[in-house]
Amino acid sequence: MKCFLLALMLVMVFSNEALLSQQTAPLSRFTIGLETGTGNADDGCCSDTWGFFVLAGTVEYRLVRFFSWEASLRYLGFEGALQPYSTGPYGFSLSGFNRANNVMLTTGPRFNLPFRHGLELSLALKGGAGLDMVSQEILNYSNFLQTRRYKPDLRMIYEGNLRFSWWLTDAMAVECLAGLMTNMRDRKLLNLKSVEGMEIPDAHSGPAQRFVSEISGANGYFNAIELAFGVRFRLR
Amino acid sequence: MSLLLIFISLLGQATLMPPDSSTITAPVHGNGLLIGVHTAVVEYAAFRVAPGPVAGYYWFHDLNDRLTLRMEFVGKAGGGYREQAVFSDAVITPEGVGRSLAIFNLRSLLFLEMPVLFQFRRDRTARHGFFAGLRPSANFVTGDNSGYLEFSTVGNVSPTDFQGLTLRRGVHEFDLSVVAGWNYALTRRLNLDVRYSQGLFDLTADNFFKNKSNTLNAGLQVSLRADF
Repeated sequence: MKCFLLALMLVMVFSNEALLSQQTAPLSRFTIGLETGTGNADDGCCSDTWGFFVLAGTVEYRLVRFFSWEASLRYLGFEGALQPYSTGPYGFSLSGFNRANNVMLTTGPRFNLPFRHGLELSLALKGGAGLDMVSQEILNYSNFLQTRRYKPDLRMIYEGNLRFSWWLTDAMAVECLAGLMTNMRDRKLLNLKSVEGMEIPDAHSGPAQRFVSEISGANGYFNAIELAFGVRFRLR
Repeated sequence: MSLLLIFISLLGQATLMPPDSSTITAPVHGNGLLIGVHTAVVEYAAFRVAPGPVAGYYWFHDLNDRLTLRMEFVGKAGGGYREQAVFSDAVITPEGVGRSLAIFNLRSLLFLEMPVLFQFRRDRTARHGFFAGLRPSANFVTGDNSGYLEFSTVGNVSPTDFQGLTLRRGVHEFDLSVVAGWNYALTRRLNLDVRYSQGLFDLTADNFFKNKSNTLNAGLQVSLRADF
């Protein structure tokens, strides 16, 4: 019994050293990335947009040296100006802002072209689904009238990007990315979820009716160009 | 005795040092890329915040074993502002009324910042550190945030013409903030920063927006720094 316990003790002590020596595992084919950036979006309802912000997390699996498969979860937000309508100096002047928040999940292939000194250029083409969340602030001249919120809308998203990576070590890279994305344009309109505030004056006639008709015709379609920076880690 | 032997063997399973207290030797000088997210307070009364991206380049140099000088060159996009300026005038004559109206909406800004920071750590091998410093910034209005413009004359009489006004005139071009934060070295080349910045001056001109409320370049920022 004592011999058994002594042997057990020796095995447990030295197994720890053996396990420690094996903990430097080879690098995995999986990498994870985090990127953030800005850009410009074209929204069907707005004459101009600003405040473009994108934040994304990506997972990539390197199948072979020149080809990998990637999935990304991305948040995108921007704001735009609604087309104004006015009835002249003695009437009203309706204007407003359209705020779009999108969460999208896309996946697709990435084609990689490695260079020397840890540099790499790659092209990705991805598709997936995006949840479009739109809200609008309506003003009469400078006076706040109402906030309109639309029900979230799910539609197809397509994106492509060109990424330049610099692998500083075997496990970490910094990257710069330029990309295009768009969602599927269809005739389906967004459904109004809630209206908070005052009624739009003369909403059932003349310019006000046209204004209401246009802002209610928001369909959540957009296309965007983005420029982002990020870091990437190769898992062990 | 048998229990003692088992206890001694179990001690052999313990790591020599807990992971949290493992040391790291930071480089003496270098440069790298910084990316992160900031959350700015865009309306203090309602404590409304808005997120935005941060990205840039940094350079650092150890002054001694404990103190490091770091300079960053960062671009930061900020949205969610709801400042509005209204200019109006009217002239009444027997022939009619002439009216002039201009409304400007400030909704987003771009900041180009150059924080100058001093980072303190216990010694060169410590993972944790604290930093503080000043952050001058140049501020730019992004997008066409201008609102409604109307101008009409009656006869030979015109109201004040506001068409020469631009939103740019209502935003101060330069700003200064104080910064304080905490840094953690994840690896020898990768650092995590959490910082709070407090703007010292109002971003908006009170005589343009006709209010005395302060819009400051302040907020929380979380960023990763990767050394080249």
